Amino acid sequence: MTQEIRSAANGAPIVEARDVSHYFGDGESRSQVLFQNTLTIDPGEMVIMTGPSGSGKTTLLTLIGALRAVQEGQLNVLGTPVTGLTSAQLVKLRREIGFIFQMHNLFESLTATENILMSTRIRGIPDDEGRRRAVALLDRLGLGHRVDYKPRALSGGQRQRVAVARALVNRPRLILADEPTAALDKKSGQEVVNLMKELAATEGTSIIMVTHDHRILDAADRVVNMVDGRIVSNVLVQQAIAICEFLKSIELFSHFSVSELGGIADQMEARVTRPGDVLIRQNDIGEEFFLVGRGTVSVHVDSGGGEQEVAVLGAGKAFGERALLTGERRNATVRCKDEGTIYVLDKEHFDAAIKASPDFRTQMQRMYFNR
Amino acid sequence: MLSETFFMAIRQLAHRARGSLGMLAGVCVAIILMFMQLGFRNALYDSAVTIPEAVDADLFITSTIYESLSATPPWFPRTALYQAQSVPGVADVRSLYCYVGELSSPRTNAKMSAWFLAFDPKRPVFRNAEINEKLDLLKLPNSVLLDRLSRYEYETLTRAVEQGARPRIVVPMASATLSPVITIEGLFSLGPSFFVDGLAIMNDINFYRLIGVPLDRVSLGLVTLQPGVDPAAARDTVAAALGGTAKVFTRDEYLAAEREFYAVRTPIGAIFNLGLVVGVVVGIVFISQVLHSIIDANLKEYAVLMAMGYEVRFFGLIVFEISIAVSIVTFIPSVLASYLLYSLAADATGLPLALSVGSISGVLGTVLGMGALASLLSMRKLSKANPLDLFS
Repeated sequence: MTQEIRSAANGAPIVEARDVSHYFGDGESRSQVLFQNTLTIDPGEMVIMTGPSGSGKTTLLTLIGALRAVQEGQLNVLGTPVTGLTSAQLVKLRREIGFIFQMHNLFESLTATENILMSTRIRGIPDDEGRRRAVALLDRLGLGHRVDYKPRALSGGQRQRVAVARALVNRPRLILADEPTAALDKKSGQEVVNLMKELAATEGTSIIMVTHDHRILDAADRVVNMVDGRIVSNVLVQQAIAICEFLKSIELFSHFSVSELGGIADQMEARVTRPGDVLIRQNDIGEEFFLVGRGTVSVHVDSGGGEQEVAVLGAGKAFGERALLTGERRNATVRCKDEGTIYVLDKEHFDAAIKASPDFRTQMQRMYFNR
Repeated sequence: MLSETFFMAIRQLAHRARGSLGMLAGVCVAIILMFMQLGFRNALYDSAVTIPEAVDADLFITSTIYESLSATPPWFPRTALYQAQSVPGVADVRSLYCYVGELSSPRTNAKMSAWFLAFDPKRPVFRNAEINEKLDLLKLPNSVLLDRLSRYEYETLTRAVEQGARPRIVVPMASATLSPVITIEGLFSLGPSFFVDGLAIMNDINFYRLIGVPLDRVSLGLVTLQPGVDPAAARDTVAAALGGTAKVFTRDEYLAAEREFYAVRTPIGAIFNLGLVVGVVVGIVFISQVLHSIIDANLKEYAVLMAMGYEVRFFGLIVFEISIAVSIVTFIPSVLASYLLYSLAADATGLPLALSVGSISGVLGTVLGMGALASLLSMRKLSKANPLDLFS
């Protein structure tokens, strides 16, 4: 089971998957394609799913899209439990979701606006209102002069933008996109993704996008990587970048490579803190390593005559490594001074990361024995 | 939902109209084929009752082994007619003598088939005014009146008569030492039948001279009833009076039996019906082709709509409406083409080919049914639209 990571966003999750497994085939030929995947996606998040083909990411996407019946595990989409729904109920749920596919799949016989109207009609929106929305959206997508063009008269990027408009016109709270840029050149692909992200940000829509396109990874809030039917990493990208930058500036990790830092960042858990929370208590056994992401903490030492504040640490400062490295007990108490975010790495992962680095021993010596 | 699916149906059909032109033409050919088969079949049936319909009778009396007027009918004794005459409610009973024989073409001496119909000119049997005006001509020895609508082999004869001549014509008789010769004294209009090329009427004495059948051997007995007498009841009383020596039909029964003979007892009805079935099958195949090409081209788009939450019946309705549209679009030019072909065929054959409202609405109904069947057959194709296939 993958450890769950949440962003600090507010509101009920758009997608909540818990221990979702899936099988293809029957009897002898039955094979498992998803293994107890757990994933939470919050409102407004743009999630990119990557992984080699056959890793199960498309299967997971179609489960979230209510295009398949859930076989095992718990899956909530837009607050509706998908597990055990009839196909008619799945159809109803799908009307709340926007889909974007690799190919634009527009009706050749219909104009751009009419293609988008197919989306509004299923929601019972009157045509004049639907037309107004479609034209406004196309205008925003830079196709205001092409609203009555048929797909044949549009370029590949323009067609995909119409397809994006078709998915967005009902302002769904969830958009599922499967390789939406694969058929596009770099510029059009970037354009389409930027527009999706921009519209998602203004409408608060969550986007799950399956892609192999590395050019667009930096647009994501979160990258979920799947291998062999399992989520092997689930990273909040902006947070991971921040952690890496912090770690790089800490002496202990200064000689780590970027990929090693990224590996550590992947393993760190974000913890929201309130004033007065005690992170470390003096004389306890060390179990965790800490990095201040946001806010400040104070360090207190009790040398027998009562507690004394000896230091205040702000964002980017790390603490708690000494007890893990030397096996000593904690030499101070650390308290939170205000609301903030602390990234926490447990001992097991900390040890593994340190051992993996060839420069470890020299650094240890420099830090703790040559002082 | 209907307006939405109709919008889609029309747009998709219009979009592929040019590419589907060949298939639409195929549907037209199938419809025209159906019209031609239907036209010839109905003309055949109609031509079968040309003579009976021209005859003035409320009841028909025939031999007990009589089947139809497609060949020389079997005779029955004239005494039966005297018995019928005595039945209350019967106004008059007259004899009609019928024989399918041959005439020699004056040009080639080739034999041309001909109906010989004979009656006593003092007791006329036809409703046809032209015949009744020329009854005096029939009283002459060896005289006949010829149907000017007889098939084209007779054209030289009818033209000669129209120009004032009175052509003499040989009646080839295998048993005669000297073949008899008849004189065509005048013309009338009735129309040829499917089997027999020409029609000549004469008086009963000339008939006896020509063919040698004694006049107490009657082909058809024609009964007129007094006003207000119920034909069905009269038929029963006449039949009872005859005691099984002859069969009695009301007019409607007799006409229906004549049509039925062609429809059921001859291969001709079956042949034209088979032609109709071929038209239906060809039409279904071509309509299916149109539907398939449209579904094929839009399978992925349908799958997208399914992902969006459209249900299968939405697409079923689109396909059904396309089939209806195809039916109507192809039907209109087909009717016009059939109308032209009917006129050409009627001119060429002299058969009563007519594009009746009944056959137009019948074929339209059939074509719509064909479209419905084709759209049912296309449902399997439609079920291949699967949103899961859209994912890479």
